[in-house]
Amino acid sequence: MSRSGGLALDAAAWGSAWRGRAVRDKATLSLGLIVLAVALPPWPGAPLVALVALALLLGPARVPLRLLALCLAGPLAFLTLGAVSVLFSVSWQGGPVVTITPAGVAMAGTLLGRGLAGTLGMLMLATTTPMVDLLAAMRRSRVPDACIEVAGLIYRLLFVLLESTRSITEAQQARLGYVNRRAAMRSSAALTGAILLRSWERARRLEEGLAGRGYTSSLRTLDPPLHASRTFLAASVAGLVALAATTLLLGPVMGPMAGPVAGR
Amino acid sequence: MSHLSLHARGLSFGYEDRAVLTDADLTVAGGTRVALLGANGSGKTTLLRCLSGALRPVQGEVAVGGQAMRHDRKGLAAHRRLVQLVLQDPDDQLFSADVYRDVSFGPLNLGLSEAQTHERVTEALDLLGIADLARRPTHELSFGQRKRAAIAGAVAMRPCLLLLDEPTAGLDPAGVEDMLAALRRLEEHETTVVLATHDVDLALAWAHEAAVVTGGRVRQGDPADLLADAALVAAARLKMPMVLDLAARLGLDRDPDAAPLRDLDGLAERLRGVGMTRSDAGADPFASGEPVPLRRPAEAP
Repeated sequence: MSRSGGLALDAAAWGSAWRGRAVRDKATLSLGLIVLAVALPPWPGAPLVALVALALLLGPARVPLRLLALCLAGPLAFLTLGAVSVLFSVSWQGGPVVTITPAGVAMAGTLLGRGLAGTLGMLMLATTTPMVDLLAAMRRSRVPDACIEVAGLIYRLLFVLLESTRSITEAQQARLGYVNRRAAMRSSAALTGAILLRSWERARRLEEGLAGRGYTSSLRTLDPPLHASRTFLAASVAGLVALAATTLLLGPVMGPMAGPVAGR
Repeated sequence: MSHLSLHARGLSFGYEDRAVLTDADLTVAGGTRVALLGANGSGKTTLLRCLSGALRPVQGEVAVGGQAMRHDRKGLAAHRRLVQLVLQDPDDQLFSADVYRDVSFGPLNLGLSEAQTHERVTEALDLLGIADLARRPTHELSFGQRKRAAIAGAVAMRPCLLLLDEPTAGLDPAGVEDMLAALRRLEEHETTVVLATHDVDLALAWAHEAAVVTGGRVRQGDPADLLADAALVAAARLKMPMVLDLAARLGLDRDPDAAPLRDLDGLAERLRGVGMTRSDAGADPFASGEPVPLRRPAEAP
């Protein structure tokens, strides 16, 4: 089955070796990396943060490279688009002139570097923590139960309805439902209607199923224990401090980011 | 858990202008395996939903352990501590993102502490043979695994009676075997199981009693007797179990003193009893597992 970025994120999170770690521990590391990506000088700070995040994700967190690439593809496309728009400046001098300036290159590099490092920092949490653990952590942080329960139900039903969508689409395709534009529009409309009705019916039956297990107004469940580790937390903080120190020490030695190019 | 009996008397229920149950009776003695049989739309699921309290019959009553079910909030809560229904489609019951959390939902609603809930969840997962799935996301489970997770959610409530709607539908033979093994473990924990099914062979082999729903009513009795009744089987749009059909065709269904036929082992035993054997066979003609050309002794060369 091919996976979109969102589903890849979910698959990576459920399969990660850090899935059982406490959300607090992973959030500290993730937030620390994001802060460093934004606050440190972009060169060599951003590449260093990105490398460390990548090494942790592919190493101890055991996020498969393919899934990580899928998760990164969407944000990277946006970042590249943003960097390209900063890199080139277009002016009119009797005709369109595209210019690349050293300042533009530096800015594009900074944008791409910081963005990539920050995204990898964010993926540190997102690819190791399933949505359900994040929701449980939010519940403990006193986010109202109603919000958590709605989010949890949407998350669960999303997969059920995706499966329905997939099977209906396959059935439509088998009967040439997408053979031309007109048929495709008709099939898409029918698919949308069917999914709406199914989600309504599904919700009704789910409510009946839950009522049998004593549901009145709350969908409270027992969260399985996660492994909170002071060692992990201390190592994370120490690593982040070392990363900041390395960047600040290497910065003057390595000089400013290279690559100023200008031209028409 | 302890065995309690369930009695449903005179149940009537309909949807809009269509009557589904008309004066239906059912008795489930504690510890008795009951298979509910009937065609699609015959009212099996409606009957189970009436028994579980999900539907309120327009007439009749359901009693568990001699106590009639009340349809107010307290009455239903008390009833659901004793009787649990598992729907045919597991996605109608699994609402949580992982198995452990989903199974914990019922016990928490019973007001149990977290430690007690954990114990219940662990026990239910063990009984259903899915302890290894506790931390797996529900959307990544196979259909059979989701079915067992849904049943575990009900079992964690420790009901006396478990009503299962088509628990083996859509499962491969190994999945059916896993499910039956899980049901056997539940019985050892004093849970009485009622299952609705189309599978007449399964009903004959598994159930102590069969209840055939036809024309809005329920006819209950020994599965071997009910399912050998050609008129009833036809009226219920079922078919005779393969073992009973084969026994009838071989003329092996006419001995009133013989033990009721349940499965292929029983049929093989009866064949040996009448001396049907293969001419080249030793002491056990069926031991090899190969096709057996049958000869009565008089026909043997």
